[in-house]
Amino acid sequence: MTKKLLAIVLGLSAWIGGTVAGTIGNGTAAQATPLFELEKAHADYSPSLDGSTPIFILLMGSDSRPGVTPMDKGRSDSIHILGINPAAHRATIYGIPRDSYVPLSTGGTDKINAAMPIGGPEAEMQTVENVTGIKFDYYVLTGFQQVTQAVNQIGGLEVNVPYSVVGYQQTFPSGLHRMTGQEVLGYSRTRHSLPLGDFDRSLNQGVVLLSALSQFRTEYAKDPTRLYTWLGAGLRTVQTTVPIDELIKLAGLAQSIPATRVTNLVALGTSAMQGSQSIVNLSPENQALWQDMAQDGYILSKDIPKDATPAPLP
Amino acid sequence: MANEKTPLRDTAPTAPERAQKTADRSTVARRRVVVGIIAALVVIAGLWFLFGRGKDSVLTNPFTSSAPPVPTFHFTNVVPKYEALQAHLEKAKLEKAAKHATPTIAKTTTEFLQAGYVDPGGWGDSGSINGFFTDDAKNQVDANVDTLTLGKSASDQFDTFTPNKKGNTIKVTALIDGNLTVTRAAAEFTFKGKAANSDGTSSKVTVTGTLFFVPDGNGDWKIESFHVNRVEQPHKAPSASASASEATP
Repeated sequence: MTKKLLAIVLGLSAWIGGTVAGTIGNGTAAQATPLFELEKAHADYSPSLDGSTPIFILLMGSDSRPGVTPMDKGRSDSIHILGINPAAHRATIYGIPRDSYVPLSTGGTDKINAAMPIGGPEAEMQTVENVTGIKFDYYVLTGFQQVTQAVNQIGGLEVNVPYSVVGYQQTFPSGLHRMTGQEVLGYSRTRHSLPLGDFDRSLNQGVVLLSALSQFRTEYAKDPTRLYTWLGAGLRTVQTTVPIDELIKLAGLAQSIPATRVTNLVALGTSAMQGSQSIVNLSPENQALWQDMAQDGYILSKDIPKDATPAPLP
Repeated sequence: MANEKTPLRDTAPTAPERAQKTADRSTVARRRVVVGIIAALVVIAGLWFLFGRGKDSVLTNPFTSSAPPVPTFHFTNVVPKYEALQAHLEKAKLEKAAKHATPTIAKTTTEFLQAGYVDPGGWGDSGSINGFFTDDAKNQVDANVDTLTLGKSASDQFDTFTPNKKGNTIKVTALIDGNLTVTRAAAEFTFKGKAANSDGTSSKVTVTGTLFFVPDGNGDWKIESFHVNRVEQPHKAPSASASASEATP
């Protein structure tokens, strides 16, 4: 009997001793994370505009010269309607040729770029609203010198030139080019060497905007603080009604809209002469496209009439 | 018969009877000792089961449960920067505004990492860090709590997190408007430490990221946007076999 009890005691002691010893030091080795295996975790959030209500921003480029005319009193030689649908993650850049002959909000009929010298950016915006039926939430106004400065302050812009362009001072071969501010301005202003003149120039300005979108997305993904670099470079050089909170949310939204989801087009029309000046008569087909854009903020490429290409300048 | 006395005790036992009694007493005593040892071992085993298995314990050990003090840390390298939102502002004034805002942003970032990483009570707990975020960003904390803190399962692996004394850096970029007001600020940080378990398991942890802050109107800064990465690298062999193999040439 005693021997049995002793055997039980010894057995229990061995079990407890072994178990306790096993818990010291090496006991949980089986549960330990494998050695030298890197574990990574990532958390990401940026405030962004949402909802299906479209946002419309009028982008204008003034032809004012520094020291001669204030930026908001120059002619708006570059006019682009930017429509964004946050929920659809789509956008459209709709260029309006500066020579478009339209009724001005300031009175009379003239080239569309003539409203700003008379009534400032608001008058220009009102004119475009009257012509297109699109109501703008904000406007952004820049100029020659300002574009140059902004591009230089972000360290240059990579522009994907779709076809070779002979500029005023240099030629831009097709392909991807890292451009300085001056080069971006030169590329954006070139008109005479383009097959469709003002129409193609407006389209190329859209190409620059798309390039900026792509570059911002790339830079932000690598280094989110580039947001401030872009905001600073932009706000130091433009005049805008977009509040900074909205700009930050737009920047967040830009992360979900690649350039491939942005349609870049120019208003359809024909070139003509009005007295001694060259003008553009906007095609009635634009109305359907503007109505489409006003509804949801974007136009799909497939919805653009293929046979309605702009006529070349005389 | 009337003079017979009641015997004070029984007749004295014979020698064999005494020997038998002595043997019986000895057996009983031995049994008591054995039963006592078994009972003691059972009690020890029970206590070990309840308290003695580290993090797997059923109950908290009342004698050793006092949590070790949570260490603190600070960024050893703090760099102020700025980005002006308006042209032609005086550089010296911009620098002054940025330098003024930087300590507050660095302090808030420190407190955020302290709550989510250094303090074990905050591991995997969105409630411990929710207060650092704007209302919009707060909605994203739950989904990202595994990175914004040491993680939901960190308590299963580790007991403590000890921040490195050196190598924790922060660069604060202040966004300054035309009134020289810092309207927003970004904190780019690198934060390193060691998460360890009492069983010897430990990991080198490096957290890098950018937190975007906005003033909440009450003198505090809240995180409106975040981009955080964590890398963990186990760096100590927890098993005897690993130690042995390391020792083997």
